[in-house]
Amino acid sequence: MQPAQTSLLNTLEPIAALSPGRVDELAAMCVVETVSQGLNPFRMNIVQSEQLLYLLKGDLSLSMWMARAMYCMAAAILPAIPSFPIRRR
Amino acid sequence: MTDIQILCIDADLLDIMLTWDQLAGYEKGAHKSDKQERNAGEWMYSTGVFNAASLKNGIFRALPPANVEELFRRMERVPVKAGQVIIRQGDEGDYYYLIESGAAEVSRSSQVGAAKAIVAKLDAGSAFGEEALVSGNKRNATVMMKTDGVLLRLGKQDFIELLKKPLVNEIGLDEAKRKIEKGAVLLDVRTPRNSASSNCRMH
Repeated sequence: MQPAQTSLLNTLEPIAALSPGRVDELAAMCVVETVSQGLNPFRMNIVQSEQLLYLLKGDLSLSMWMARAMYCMAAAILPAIPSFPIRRR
Repeated sequence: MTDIQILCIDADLLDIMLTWDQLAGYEKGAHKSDKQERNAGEWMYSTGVFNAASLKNGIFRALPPANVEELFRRMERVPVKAGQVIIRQGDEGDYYYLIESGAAEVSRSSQVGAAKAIVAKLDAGSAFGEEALVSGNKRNATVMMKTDGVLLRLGKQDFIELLKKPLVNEIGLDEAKRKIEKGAVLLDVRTPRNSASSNCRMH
């Protein structure tokens, strides 16, 4: 785990729309996590509240309940496109 | 599919922050004149006064956005000095306070004339004075500034209109009786002192 930098948060939507003070607060409250291949990041939510999950690096496949698969490319691969959040409970 | 790096953020907290910035009229890249007076909107995105924890866990969380905006329009900014007593135990409730800057101490005596015990220390972002306004009882503690600072205060009627109504669910005596008959339990959460000075008795 490593602290999130405000420069990183300012590349993420809709966080980038926040005032500088709020971005600073968020930066102090969140960390960048590394998840090894094969682990499910949606099963790692130790808090009960709904979370927004930004994929920053690497490739993640999402299997939907209707058996369709989505494939997400990380923002690191497409740096011009801001990363987008996925909700997890 | 590969090792990944992720960033997780509490969705509710982000929603609240976005709402507050929006209500405050914050626009990315817009610069304000240094000479401009500090207004209600600026208070709202002042993270020193209304930090993430107070927005997420405090009374503002449950308020409709329109009420939050109106609340800050009606608040009055009051400079205060170290040693100044802001509210005194036993007085009638008149204002609800938020600390913009400075620190205060809350003390309480269990009986008239008894020594006061310090029960809490408050700093920027803390709020006080709501209990007497909600309950209609007298102040149950004394709050004194420990440092110079600035308070934001809201008058009793504005508090009742903007904060109490959306946050406190009231029911009448008949409805309360019906609920008790169906198994509801009535809890008396008043302090012994408040209970003694009130005409309302539990039987």
